[in-house]
Amino acid sequence: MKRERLIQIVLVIVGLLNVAQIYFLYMDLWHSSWLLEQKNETHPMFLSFFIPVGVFLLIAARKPSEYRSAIALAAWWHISHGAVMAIQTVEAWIHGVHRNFADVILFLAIGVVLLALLPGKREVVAPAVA
Amino acid sequence: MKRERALQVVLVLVGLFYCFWGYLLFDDLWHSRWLSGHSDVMPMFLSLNTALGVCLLVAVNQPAKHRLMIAYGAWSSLAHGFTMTIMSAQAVAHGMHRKDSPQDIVIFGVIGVTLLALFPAKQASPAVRPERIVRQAEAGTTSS
Repeated sequence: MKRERLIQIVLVIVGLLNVAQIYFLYMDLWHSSWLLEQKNETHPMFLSFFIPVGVFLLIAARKPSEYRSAIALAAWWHISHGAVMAIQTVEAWIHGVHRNFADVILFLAIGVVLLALLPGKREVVAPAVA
Repeated sequence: MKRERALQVVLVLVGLFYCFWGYLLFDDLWHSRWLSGHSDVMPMFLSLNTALGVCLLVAVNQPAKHRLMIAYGAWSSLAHGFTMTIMSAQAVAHGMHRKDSPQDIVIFGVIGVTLLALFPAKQASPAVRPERIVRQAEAGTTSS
């Protein structure tokens, strides 16, 4: 019960963090800033992925044991994101470019915590019990 | 049954399509190409869909057990397509043309709509069933 409450809290926090990216997406699209100032068309698309993840994590927070696979997806999603940023950080350092690694730690920590708190598989009871 | 098979076929195709992005990711990270292209977002962007592709392939065996994951695959594709639609409209408004538009919008829109159209029905929760049966049996004995 305590573990379930804990994962619910984590899911709500991570879900809200992901949903909050909508603000940055809005700022990117507002006045076509991605086109005229940043000249980076990947950034808005990249941000658009966070919003559904956030919404689905908030849905999963109601009954985490029913949404194991969605939570696992979010966990591996954050871990793959963190791993790619870790490689990028190392490559940047090798080429003498500084890249802050705080985001690597944040995303890896979120992924590991979600995996650690992943609810156990529910036992399937055969309908023949009746 | 036919619908479930159709969903499984779609999940394999979409899963493989997104897994292919893993190759693009490798290509971007290989020899630090992302660094020379000055786009540090691109590899991260590719990593998200690669992970989604693997998870969709995991869901192929028992789609009904992975409903929320499939829903996520559908809605993230739609969100991606919707964002690209806004971007394409903005590019046109500024007298420019977005590369790959509108094919990319159509592809992601079709993926999202197809996954939602074939979305599996909710399974009856097996853990709850015996309890319900016991309650019904108790109600039956008290009423008789």
